[in-house]
Amino acid sequence: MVKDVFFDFNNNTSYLTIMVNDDNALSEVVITGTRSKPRTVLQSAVPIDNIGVKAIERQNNGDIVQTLKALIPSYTSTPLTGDGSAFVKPTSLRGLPPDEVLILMNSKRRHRSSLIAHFGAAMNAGSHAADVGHIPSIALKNIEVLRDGAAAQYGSDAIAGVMNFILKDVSSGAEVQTQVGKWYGRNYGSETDYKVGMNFGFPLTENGFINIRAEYAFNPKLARGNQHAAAQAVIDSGIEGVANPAMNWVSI
Amino acid sequence: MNPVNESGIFNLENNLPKNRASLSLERNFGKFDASVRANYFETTFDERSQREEIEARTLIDLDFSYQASETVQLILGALNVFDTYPNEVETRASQGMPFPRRTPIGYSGGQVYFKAIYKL
Repeated sequence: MVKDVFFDFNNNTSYLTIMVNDDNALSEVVITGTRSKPRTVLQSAVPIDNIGVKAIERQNNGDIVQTLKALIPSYTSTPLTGDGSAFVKPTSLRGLPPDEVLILMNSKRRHRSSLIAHFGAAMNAGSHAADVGHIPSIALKNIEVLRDGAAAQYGSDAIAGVMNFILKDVSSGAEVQTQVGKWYGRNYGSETDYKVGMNFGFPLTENGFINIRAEYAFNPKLARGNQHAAAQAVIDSGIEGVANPAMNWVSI
Repeated sequence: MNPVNESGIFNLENNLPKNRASLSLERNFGKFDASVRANYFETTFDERSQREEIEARTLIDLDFSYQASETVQLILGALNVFDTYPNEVETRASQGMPFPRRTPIGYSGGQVYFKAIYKL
């Protein structure tokens, strides 16, 4: 049984989830929106990370994968320079393929992307995963990560673990986030990325609400390669108008 | 065709780090919050026959947050603040790609960012 409790402390509304056993004994309390509690749910028999909205907000999350990579130790994302995997990034929990991580939105399964990867770090080949990168960061209230296999409970897509993205459910108020980032890599151009996001909540009669959110992000092409040897040979032979670099090796 | 040949097994076992660690420190000073985070990636190997070693790296992130008023929060941060890259490899150097392509370290370099959050 789960009871939701709202409380108001110095006008900072926080959110509590209290789990109660059948005999009314308290079993687990998850508090979202505070940093007074350790990130890891220690009393659980399985390792659970609970990443709150504060930690998500403070990241440059041009792409939510970047945020997850920074905050979750066993999570990796390999940048790719070609193929559909450049857009549906090969991510991995505990070194296992992307489609062996169960992705939940509000505790329900998220659909998979249309890409069957055949490229990337070896574990990505043939995998058919949910596209986590499309989840707008402004929508997120917190992220729960089960860093252990839970296939017995959830099925074979939870071999590496489970990530549960909990969406904001505000019934009133507005939030606007703007972000600008500047890359300053040595030897490379200084590309700029930016993002604008908005989240609005409206009450819908006394018993409901509507939460509307929108986000627009621009991520630049980060060319990190040098000139291709064959293109250089063409330039050396005196032909003009060859682009530099002629072949882009892009990291996104 | 054998889908799981010897090099496939090598890549499965070595494209991603066996050990990866993340250490973060956070401190609150009234209206200010500061945090520093270190992300460690253990040695891995690039794919293709050369199997070049990608050395271990630690990336450092920083961020500062200031609660300017009840509704406005300003954040200044940096990802990979020391502009760390993986070591360069030979596999695709002639094609103009100096970095290993199978590394979760990433080769984007450092970034500074500024964020403003308004909550009503």
